[in-house]
Amino acid sequence: MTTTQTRKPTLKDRLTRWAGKRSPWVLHINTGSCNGCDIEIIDALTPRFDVERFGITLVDTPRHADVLLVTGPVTRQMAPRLKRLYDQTPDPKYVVAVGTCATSGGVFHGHYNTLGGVDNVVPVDMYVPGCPVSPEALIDAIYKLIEGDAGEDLPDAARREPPASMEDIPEECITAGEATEESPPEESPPPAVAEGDQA
Amino acid sequence: MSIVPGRVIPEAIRTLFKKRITSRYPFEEAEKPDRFRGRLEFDESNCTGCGLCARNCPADALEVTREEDGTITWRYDVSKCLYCGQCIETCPVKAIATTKEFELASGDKDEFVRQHQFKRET
Repeated sequence: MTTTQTRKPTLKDRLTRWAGKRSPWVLHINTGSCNGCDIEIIDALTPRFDVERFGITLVDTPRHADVLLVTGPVTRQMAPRLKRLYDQTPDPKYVVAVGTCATSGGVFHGHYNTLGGVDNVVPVDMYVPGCPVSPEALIDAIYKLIEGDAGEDLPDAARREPPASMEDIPEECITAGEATEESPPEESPPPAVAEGDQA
Repeated sequence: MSIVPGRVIPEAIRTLFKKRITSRYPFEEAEKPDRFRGRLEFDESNCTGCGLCARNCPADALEVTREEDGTITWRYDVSKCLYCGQCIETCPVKAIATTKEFELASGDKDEFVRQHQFKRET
């Protein structure tokens, strides 16, 4: 989806953007990818391509991340988790859809179990087509993202519109992640063959 | 396995004089292998509008529509393409070719669609 509303950057925005340009920390999220794009992300970190030249480093938690690298066509199981990871990332945050699947669903488009692209769940700032993306394409995407074609007008993350097709996701998929954490199911069905196994 | 200083030091000295392995990619052009498949290139002068490429496309990235007056629309969505090269092999008139273009990242999804419209005798 495209961001419709923008605002003029304040001094604080300029400072965070200046700092973020020199060290965009990335979090890698796999939402049902075939691992092709994941391996290419790892490739980009190897000495051959060495994205740490630009201060890019992989972090372990969304709370430390500036950029989310999302791979995969977003399975229904993963959609609420992706939404939560996005909400946990502090502003200013950027989402990069890595690979054809993350961009449009790829070969999985129209499947019952995938949502066909990251932009159906969270707003995306940069799409990187490629199956899989080459490490150079990934470097090019992050370079384009942090250099910023527009540069002046920052997308206002707080005022971004929710993606239209969020309503298409069934309610139980959205709440599944939250339900398990807040109130775990008290009665789990007893394993039917447990006793037989022991005997 | 312990590190033997007698082996490490000559290796360290040798490495000092080796060429750097890191590619200087965004500042220099990337070298891609000869048979690399990137974005497709379409030559509409050859195309007959048979639609075999669209039929063979596993990701529905290609769409060929034919109007009654002979207008053919060849639509290519880069964001769906798998770069498998099946359309290139299928095309009977070699109207589709691959390029080494891989810097396709964009913030705008509409930029991914390329469309060619041309007329053929019915």
